[in-house]
Amino acid sequence: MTQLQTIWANRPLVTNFAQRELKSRYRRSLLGWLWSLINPLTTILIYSLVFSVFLRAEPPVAGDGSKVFALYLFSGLVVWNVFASMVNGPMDWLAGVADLLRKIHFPADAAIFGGAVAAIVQSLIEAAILLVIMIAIGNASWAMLTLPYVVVCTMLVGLGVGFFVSIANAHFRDVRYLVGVVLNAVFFLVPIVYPPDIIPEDYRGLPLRDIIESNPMVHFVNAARDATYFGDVNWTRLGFIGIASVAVFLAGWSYFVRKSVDISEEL
Amino acid sequence: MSDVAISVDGVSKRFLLQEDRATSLKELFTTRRRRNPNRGFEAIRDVTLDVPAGSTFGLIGHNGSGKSTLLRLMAGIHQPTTGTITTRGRISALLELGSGFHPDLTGRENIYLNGAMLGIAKKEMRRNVDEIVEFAGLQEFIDQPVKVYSSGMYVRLGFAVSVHVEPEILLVDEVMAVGDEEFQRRCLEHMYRLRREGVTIVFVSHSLGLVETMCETVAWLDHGQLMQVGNAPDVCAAYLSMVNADEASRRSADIVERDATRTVELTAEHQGTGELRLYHADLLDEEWYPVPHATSGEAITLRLWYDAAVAVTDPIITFDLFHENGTHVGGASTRGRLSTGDIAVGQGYLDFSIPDLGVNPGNYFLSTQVTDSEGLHVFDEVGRIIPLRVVASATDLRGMVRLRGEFGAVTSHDVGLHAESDATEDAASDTATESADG
Repeated sequence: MTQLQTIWANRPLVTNFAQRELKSRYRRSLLGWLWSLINPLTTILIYSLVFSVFLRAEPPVAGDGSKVFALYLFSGLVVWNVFASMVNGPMDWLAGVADLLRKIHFPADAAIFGGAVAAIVQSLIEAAILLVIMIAIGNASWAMLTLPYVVVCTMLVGLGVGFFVSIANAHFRDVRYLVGVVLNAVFFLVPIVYPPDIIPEDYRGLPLRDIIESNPMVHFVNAARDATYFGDVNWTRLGFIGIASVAVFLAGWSYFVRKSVDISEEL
Repeated sequence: MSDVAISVDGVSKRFLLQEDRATSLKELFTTRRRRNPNRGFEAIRDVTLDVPAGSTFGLIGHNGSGKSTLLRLMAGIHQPTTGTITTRGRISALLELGSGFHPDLTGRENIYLNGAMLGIAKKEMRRNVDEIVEFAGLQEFIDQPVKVYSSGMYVRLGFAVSVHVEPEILLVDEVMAVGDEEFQRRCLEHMYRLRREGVTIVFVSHSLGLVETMCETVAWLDHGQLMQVGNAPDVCAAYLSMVNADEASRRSADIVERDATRTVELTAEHQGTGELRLYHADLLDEEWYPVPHATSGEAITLRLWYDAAVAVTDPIITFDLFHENGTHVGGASTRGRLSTGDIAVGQGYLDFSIPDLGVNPGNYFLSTQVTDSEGLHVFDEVGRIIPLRVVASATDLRGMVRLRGEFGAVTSHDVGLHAESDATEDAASDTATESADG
């Protein structure tokens, strides 16, 4: 609880870090904030082209009976982007304040939270676009209201992992590259860019689809899809991701707070 | 305990050296290192002290004695390896050039960042910004990124911020050496003001004079260990005498080692015809013991040794003292004396005694010259070759030489000039009172 009080007392610092991150992003770039739209849009276009057109993957039927691969993809990608940026981000956010930490005392997790606040702005823009599109094409339902909850849960679970990863990276620089490899693998092992039914149920005696679906990240992606694409509310799943994300977040955070007191010597 | 601002209890700090760490996962798994608790470098060893609230506390010691490490531990930047540090109150630390500045942010943004680190919201901080900018004298540059600032601007801004965030504890590492005279004076005035307001100040400096006037209590660290803590004048004096003793032993070892080669060493630099050579200079104390250096304010005898191949009647022997910066401080000569005595063939010496050396601490060089009685034939001349080191016996020495003189009592003139100069006099007397207190 004391770490909660500390970070609450350091709200000005979190705000300051978040503002700095937001201000410096796209500084001196011509298109500025448009980049935060161009990036996800090109990703969706390319994946749609490859998986839907070249590989002829059929998306499952959406809540309104339509089958638009790009939207299926987008609904999964929104939470994945949150997760990936929360896992990767803390390494950079911590490194970004390394000089400061060597010279002045402040809770290092303030920098992480500041970065997270700035990063979630990007995700919220993406989520808003997704919702607007869904409403525009008439695939709207009350289930959409659960999307913010899913995004927050994904943010927490990602931060929890990110806290561990950033400490590990301060000690061993290999961690950054390892994280890149693992994230890339998990991205393709979670049905984001392809529908789950193209995974064989049984592959040389292995229950491959069950193995893939046992990955907890699948539930976060699916919860976001329930909310936007299928227009469905799965309370069990929402409960699971809530508990899991808070648990991972608290574990990562308290680990970070314990380990970061001396971290400036390592950075 | 309520009157203790910082309590340092049995604190040690060990830094791991680069070769002691595993920096890649591969190393972690491949290198079989025994867990050796004595690895690394121990910067602070078992230090226990209390900084009383509202006091000004000095930390002194030679380079690498752990002063700055202790200050950083107090600031919470490092965590002690063993022991605990308890602090009460908002700490503002000015540890080095632009501590806590982000190079890409502007001066103004950095002011807010520093405020935020102390938990001060932007709204609150806004009130202080103008005052800070004004104090630092950075009106034109405050909206430029601090990476383009000069070192003086960095320090001015750093100092301005750290004293304007209403700290309860102010930690200052030797930073005021940067910045011009005027800024240094303003810093000091400000520190005196904070002190009056009851702010606890911990102060690291190599300037013993400053420490002695500023601080009530002083702690002396040597190789990470606490040597002494107590009254400022006592601890400063103890530190000074140890520094002098250290130097003495180092210099005498030096001289023994060099003695054999001294003559040879000097030959190369000699000018003059060379029938007579000054080959050695000794420093002797009151009891005629050779000493490695002279002490300011004490008696010293300079003994010049010669080796003559010819006899000289009434020679003129001269020596001159130069400061290492080239200034000719002074000299003496036998010219004009009725007779110095004649120099016979062979070796001998000549003494020059000073009962109370008026030269202040520093590195000096001696030049000597021997000529015939007319000063025309130069037998030997050694230019700025013989080193002379002068050390301190007191801390309040100013400039290169001591002016002998005494102050009379203050005499008041009862005239109506007061009204005009009131303000400046007030400020001046404030500072004066404070120094007297310390």
